[in-house]
Amino acid sequence: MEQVIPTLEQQFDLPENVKIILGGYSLAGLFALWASTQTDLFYGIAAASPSIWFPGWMEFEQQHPIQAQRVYLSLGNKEERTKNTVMAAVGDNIRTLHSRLAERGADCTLEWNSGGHFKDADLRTAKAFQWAMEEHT
Amino acid sequence: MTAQTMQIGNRPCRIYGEAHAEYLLLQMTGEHELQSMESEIAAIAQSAHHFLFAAVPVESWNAMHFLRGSLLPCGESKGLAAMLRTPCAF
Repeated sequence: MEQVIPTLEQQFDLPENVKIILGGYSLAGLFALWASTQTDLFYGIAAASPSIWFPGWMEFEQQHPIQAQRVYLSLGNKEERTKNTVMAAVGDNIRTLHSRLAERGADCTLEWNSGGHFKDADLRTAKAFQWAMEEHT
Repeated sequence: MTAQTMQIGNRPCRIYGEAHAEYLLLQMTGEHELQSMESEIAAIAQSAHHFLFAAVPVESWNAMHFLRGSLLPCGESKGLAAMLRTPCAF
């Protein structure tokens, strides 16, 4: 990111106050959330079905809070119904993360999509970016 | 919206959108996601906002230092790496 952002800003003549939104699906969604714990560079985070079942993530975020003030979270409504006990934590974790962000005053949402983890990843990610760009009252 | 590829460091990034954009959208992507990137961009483009989108390729999520360094003690990463390669585990 340290290399990508300045290069794009220069090549595409982006304004100084360009709003940077980092997003992704699954592990890329988790990466986006993690990256926002490391810097306040990001205006928004668009995390679609983020892999926040990942062991240690919730404790890590508690100690290193997400810094973006606009955070989109989503999950498929069947994703937490898995026999894998590690991954089954994703539902409770995303509800807890959403509550945490709301309590901190972030502009955030948690959207439940229909289906499991591997359905409509492209459209779910697009929805995440769209929400992050919208004006919210 | 047509794509262009730009080499940034050692990463061939796929870029969509326009100069002077109000929003810079960044997404780390695996190879499989690039196949459906066009439909994702078409859906994002339905918004009224001007944006520049960059898909930044990731060779392997298992190698991402943030998973090992920040979130996991070194010894725990092997089992999880195996799990991440198993889609049916979801």
